[in-house]
Amino acid sequence: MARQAVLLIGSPRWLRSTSYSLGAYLIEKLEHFDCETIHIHKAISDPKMTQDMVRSVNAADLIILSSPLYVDALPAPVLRVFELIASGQREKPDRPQQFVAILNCGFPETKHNNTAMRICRLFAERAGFMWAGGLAMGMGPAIDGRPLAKAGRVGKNARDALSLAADALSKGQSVPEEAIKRMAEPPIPIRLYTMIGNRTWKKMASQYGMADKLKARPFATAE
Amino acid sequence: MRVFLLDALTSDDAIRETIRQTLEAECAARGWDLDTMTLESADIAHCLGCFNCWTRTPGVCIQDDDGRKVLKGMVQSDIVVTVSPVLFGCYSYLMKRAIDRIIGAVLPFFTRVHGETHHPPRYDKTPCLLAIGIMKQHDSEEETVFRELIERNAINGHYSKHIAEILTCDMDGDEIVGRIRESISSLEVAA
Repeated sequence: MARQAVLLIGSPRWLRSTSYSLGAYLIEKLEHFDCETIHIHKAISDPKMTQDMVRSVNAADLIILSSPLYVDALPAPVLRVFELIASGQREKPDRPQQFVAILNCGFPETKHNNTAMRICRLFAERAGFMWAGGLAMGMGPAIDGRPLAKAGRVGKNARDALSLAADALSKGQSVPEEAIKRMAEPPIPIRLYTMIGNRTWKKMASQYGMADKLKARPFATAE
Repeated sequence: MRVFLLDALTSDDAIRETIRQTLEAECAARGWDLDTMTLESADIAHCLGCFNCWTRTPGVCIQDDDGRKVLKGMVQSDIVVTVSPVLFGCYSYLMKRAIDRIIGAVLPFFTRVHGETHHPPRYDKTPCLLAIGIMKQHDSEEETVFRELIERNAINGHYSKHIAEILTCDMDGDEIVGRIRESISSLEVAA
């Protein structure tokens, strides 16, 4: 019988998000799992969908959270899900439930995700899940919500890491260290990424006629 | 001196009144203005992750709700005080929903600081931060993660000084008052 996996997407950008690209690639590589994908922002906006989401998580063999980093931690709706799942008496199946986190951030360095990953781990342990590992990467916008298979060179480390992770999780094992290290490796030099990033912000602003107003201080008092 | 209080406790939290009264008294004694936002009743939508606050309406979120007041209040204050339950080492949902809306306080560009990449501040003057975390009972693992989170917030948010204060619901009123007084006095020098 196929085991159940739930992929929770923590980005409001949903199918256009790097969180979805990464999570979808992992579940595509999983073997012997039936997978359900849930958009957290949408699910918490409706009581019935919230209830269904909590029920799915409580019944799953493998829970995968794929989320962006927001202000050094997880986006608020992800924390809401943590609160809901951990509150009260959780209906747990009498078999281990693995919890895996995939985090990505816009900074080039992976280590910006460290605190959020510790929060994920504490949640998993306190809520009665088996922590099966966390995969984190910087330079998330380089993937920009494209299907990971089509992300070329910038997606290679993530593809390799997620394939290794899927192989282990399919066997009921935790994410191997090799996958975690591979995921964390910057796919392009940091200097190149920041240079492209700085240009991209100006380009985006110029589409709105705001290129010369990027440093505006709308709430400035007498400084 | 302006103090901006973001309060994520709810009316069910018994510790809330002690904290609020202490902050009000400390500010009044110094002649400071205290502006309080009660997050339980605030109208704050989730961050959309659209980055329009960087590119389309620089420094202002496109969502016109109390989330804008969070950023304005923080930018215009000398001391920001956050009061939130600690959950798995993080802020509660209510506090994080507000904090997710403040990225307009920094610029989109990347800059290197001490070997790490960060976004530079949008404003020349940045406030101090007193982050008060509330735990039902002491939990050293959660405390460690919470302190680390505040440290990261202080670096990325460019707070001029920061203090992470952990209070537990089993502390007596005098201890709570003493801890908050001490933190405010410490920040008074920096602000």
